[in-house]
Amino acid sequence: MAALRVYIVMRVMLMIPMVLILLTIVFFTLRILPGDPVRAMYGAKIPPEVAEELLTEWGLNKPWHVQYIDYLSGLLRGDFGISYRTKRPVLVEIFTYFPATLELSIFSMIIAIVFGIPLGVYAAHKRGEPSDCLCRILAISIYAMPIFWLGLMLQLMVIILDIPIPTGSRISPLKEPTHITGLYVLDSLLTGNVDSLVDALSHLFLPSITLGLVLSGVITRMTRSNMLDTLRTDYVTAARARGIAEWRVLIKYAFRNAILPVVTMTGLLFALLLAGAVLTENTFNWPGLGTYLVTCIANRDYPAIQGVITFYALIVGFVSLIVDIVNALLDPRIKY
Amino acid sequence: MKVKSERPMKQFKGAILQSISRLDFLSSIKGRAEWYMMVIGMSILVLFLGIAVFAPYISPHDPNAMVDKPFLPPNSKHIMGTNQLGQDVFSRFVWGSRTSLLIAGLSTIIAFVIGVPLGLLSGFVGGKLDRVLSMIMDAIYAFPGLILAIAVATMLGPGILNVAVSLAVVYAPTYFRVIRNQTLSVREQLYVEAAKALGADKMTIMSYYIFPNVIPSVVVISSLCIADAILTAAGLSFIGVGISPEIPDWGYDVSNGQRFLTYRAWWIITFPGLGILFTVIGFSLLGESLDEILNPKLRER
Repeated sequence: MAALRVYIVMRVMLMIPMVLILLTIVFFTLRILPGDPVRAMYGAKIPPEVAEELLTEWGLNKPWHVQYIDYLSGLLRGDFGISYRTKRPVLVEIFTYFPATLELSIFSMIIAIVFGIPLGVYAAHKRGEPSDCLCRILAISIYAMPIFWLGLMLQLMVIILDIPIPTGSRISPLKEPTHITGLYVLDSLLTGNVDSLVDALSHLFLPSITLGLVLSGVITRMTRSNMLDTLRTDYVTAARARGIAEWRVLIKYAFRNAILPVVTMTGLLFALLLAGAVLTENTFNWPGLGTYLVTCIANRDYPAIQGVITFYALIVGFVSLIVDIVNALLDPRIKY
Repeated sequence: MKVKSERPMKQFKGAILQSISRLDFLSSIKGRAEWYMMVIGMSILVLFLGIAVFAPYISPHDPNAMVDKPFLPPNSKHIMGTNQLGQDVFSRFVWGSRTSLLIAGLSTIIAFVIGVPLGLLSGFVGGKLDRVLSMIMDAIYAFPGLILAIAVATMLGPGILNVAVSLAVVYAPTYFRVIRNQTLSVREQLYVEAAKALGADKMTIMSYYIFPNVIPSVVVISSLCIADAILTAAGLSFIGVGISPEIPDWGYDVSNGQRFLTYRAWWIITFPGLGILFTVIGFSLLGESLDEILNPKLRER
């Protein structure tokens, strides 16, 4: 156990350069790339005096190394800048939108796992047969679907068939549960508010199916190829030779080892989830971080855009840390 | 003594031809599932490429002109109907294929030009350079592609080239990683050592001995990356940081049509979406089948 603790400390230390690189990439992308952000936002026709004023206001006319230090030291103090549009701290804004994204992500992930893993196991089991081919074509087609288009098609279906499922927003007016965590499903469960719970779940239905389906395509492919690898190992052959029922071999023997690499891939899947959430949220008018980002872009709110992208960079660093630690816990072969 | 061909271009061409001739075994997989996947993928791509190339002859109307009443459902005059501005949806669909493939192709070329030489250099030289480059590329790779592309595209402003650049930033690390890892294994090969022993300089080894041997893996990667790039580009247009509205584009058209869902104007968003879907399926099928064919570990299965 001591070794594990050392590993975790080491891994946390290693996270520092990674986050620093991520933040540097964000910084250079948003500052240095086109020359100057103000003209990138408002076009070249902006009067020079106005441009100068905005540059001064956003601290962008200092030498770039000073800006870089300002940016990093600001982050250390938890200062993500002040939104130009709402005049509120960007971090406060982010935290009002983030629970919605988190809730959508959790439900989508559940749907993706529930659909994706059994389909992958089934495809591997039927390898080379027509049903395997069908599963793979399905996985490719789902992955090839533009996520926003899938969402709109589902909305269209609901509208044409007159199914009473909400196609936008997070909750009906006046049905919001008491704010505890910001996750409406959890909050309404905690307060025992059945009315809110049903309403929140019905709003979650279409967006999480959309995002979940797209992710399930990836999970199916990963599970299938990992299952194929484990099904070829000697211990599976041995189990089969002993006459153990095929489904038992699949689930009890092969699946357990096949699922480990899938956990490793969760980091990549998470990047896909975050990117997918941006599109899904905008399709369903879901008040999450992705919708906030697009609103900021539409309103040319430079400090807020920078804050949100920075926040995403921090999430990415944090998730890769968690994935590595979970892996070390799950797989005793990982050296630390 | 320096080993360098008197006609380097000829030797270079020879190396490329040699790596293409490795695709010989294509005939050996005829009739297998991968073969059908490849044939279907190729057919879809040829179809869309044809539409894109011959767009001016295929499209019946100017994609940006008001040609009829708005919101006409598909009919004999407009097989895909008209949109809210009375533009012919089919003409926009045809021209949209051009935009989509152009962006995908451009971004692939840029990502290739950035990723491949850096990957070769990093893998071959190793040491500190390799560590620093790998760390930067890994960080970009870990970042959600669409969000990074949004950031770059917002800063660069609208335009086909700008969108292509923002996609290239996202996909260059993929090329880098594949090429670097391949280089690491190829540089240990005997023929590389032989070239070194003969006194070939580093540039010669990299371009004549290593490059031709790592390039086949790029075929698979680029096919899968293009598929992804088309989706990301569509996402950028949907969000409104893509190309300017006067250029017909599938992603933009879907985004435009979503306001009219409640009027049940399904044709405005369905057709451009199908365009994206099928092009991406085409590239994915091609990439997947090539992957299974070129990857010997999978071939055993």
